[in-house]
Amino acid sequence: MSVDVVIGIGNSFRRDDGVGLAVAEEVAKRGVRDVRVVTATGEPGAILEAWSGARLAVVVDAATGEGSCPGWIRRWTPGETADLGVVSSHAIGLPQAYALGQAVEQIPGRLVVLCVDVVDTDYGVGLTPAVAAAVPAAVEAIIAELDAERGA
Amino acid sequence: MTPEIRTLSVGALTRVEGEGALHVTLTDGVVESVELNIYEPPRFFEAFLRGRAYTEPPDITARVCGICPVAYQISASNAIEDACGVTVPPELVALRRLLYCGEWIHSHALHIFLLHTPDFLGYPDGISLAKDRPDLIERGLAIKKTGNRLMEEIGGRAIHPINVRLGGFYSVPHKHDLEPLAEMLRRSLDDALDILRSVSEFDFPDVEFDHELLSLADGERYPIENGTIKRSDGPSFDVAEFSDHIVEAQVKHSTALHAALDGERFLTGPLARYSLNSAALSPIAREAAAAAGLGRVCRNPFRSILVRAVEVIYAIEESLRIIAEYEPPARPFVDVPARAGVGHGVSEAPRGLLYHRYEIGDDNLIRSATIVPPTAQNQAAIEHEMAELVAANLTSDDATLTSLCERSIRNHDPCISCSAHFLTLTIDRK
Repeated sequence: MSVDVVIGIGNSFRRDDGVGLAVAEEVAKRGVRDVRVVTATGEPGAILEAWSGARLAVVVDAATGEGSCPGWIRRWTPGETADLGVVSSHAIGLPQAYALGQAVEQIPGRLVVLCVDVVDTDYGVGLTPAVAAAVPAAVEAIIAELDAERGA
Repeated sequence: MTPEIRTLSVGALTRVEGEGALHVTLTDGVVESVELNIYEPPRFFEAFLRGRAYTEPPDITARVCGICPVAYQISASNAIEDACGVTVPPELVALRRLLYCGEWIHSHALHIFLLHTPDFLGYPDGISLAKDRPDLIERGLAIKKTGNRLMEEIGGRAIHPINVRLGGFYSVPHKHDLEPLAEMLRRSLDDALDILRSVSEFDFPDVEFDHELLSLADGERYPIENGTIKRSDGPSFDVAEFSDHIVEAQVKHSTALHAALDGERFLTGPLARYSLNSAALSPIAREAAAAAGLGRVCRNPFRSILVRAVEVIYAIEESLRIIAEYEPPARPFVDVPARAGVGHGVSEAPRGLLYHRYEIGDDNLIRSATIVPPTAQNQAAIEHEMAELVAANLTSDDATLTSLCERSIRNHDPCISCSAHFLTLTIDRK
């Protein structure tokens, strides 16, 4: 049976950017059967490897931008936006990693991305209160995605 | 008469590590200036190393770069061990070389497949290339993964390894831990040889540049984790004499320092390393280089993609050799007791020679630190190459010239994050 995967992306030394890792850590504590929980820095090769062959991949990451509301959780699936513009000069973003994975057939059966709106990505550890408060809800949202995949 | 002004401009250079721009001014068809404008903010690593414990630079400086942290760890360790008068035994040096091979493999694979190959096949980026040539990208990603696995096994993790310390490592692998890696490396060697054959069929502009070349040399081995300093147009010199020959200066248009070798521009990196050390390659790498059309010396920066592919082959073979000969050392490290004084350390980062110098005080704290990364050393040479290329192609339209300049920069895989410690292109035609 193929295994589902939860991938937490982030950097715990950039405050709220660590929210994806914090959520993944909480999901791992649930010990859900046939679910792998991994963490990543966002490096595309590692992400492709983590989700390749999975039935469902749920990625949880931090997000910021215009209209951002700290602690809000947004859900994105491939195809919802055509915008594949490069957003970083250092690395490629998640949509680009997915496009790369499609080209080399290293994508999961289904991909759901949960983004938590963040406010502080400066140097340091610890989440801001609004973002920390969103962690339990993000965990439940992931569990719900996993349950839905199994028809639970 | 009003001079003819022509302006070419690139706002943010893509497919390079870091943030920068380029400004070219042409007046009446003559190249007036070419400025590689590194605007990534200065990062002050040398300043905040002052006052830290003498044991800390390998971990702190690893944070300079996510692509080449091992280079920083090893150059820093070499420098501090030099200051403390400690020699690391060969079995631990071999393990450092193995870790470093992992960094060369993953860094070169990233540049070859996702950053550089699109320039030769006419694609805007690696993702577009992957849609048409998944064969290339799949093998590239597989090779990169092998490099990352090596870094995880020896270094503790693929980015910013945590297992390196002064005198060696915190822990060393069992022999059986390395067996799965050997299998991955054997598969990657076949992939790398195939890839070199494919890359050798690209069309390369026929240009050469006469920079002095600077690289380490390491006896009969291709230089990686240490060595003495070798140059193409002068006698070799000792690491301790680095600052007698290589002087950094500020320029207005860049947050990175510009370095000169005895007052002149020079080049470090794969082309220099290969040209000064090709005889030290392993037989398979040497034969593959010859079959790909490389001579003993390569001064065409567009062909640096071939040299990187050869170095991937070499690094894989070296890894297999080290693994085959590996026996776990009795201790994972040797003690490095503090000693007041000055130490110098070098190693060959994927992008070229990386120099560290530390002064340790009587209180065992770092009194001063100097880090000279390869991209800072190469800036003058990169600007010179662009000026020559623009001058030779003045009849080309602005879009073509802009693209040529970007390709010229990517030939050197510059790491702007390291050097600022890159590309918006603006060309003014006056």
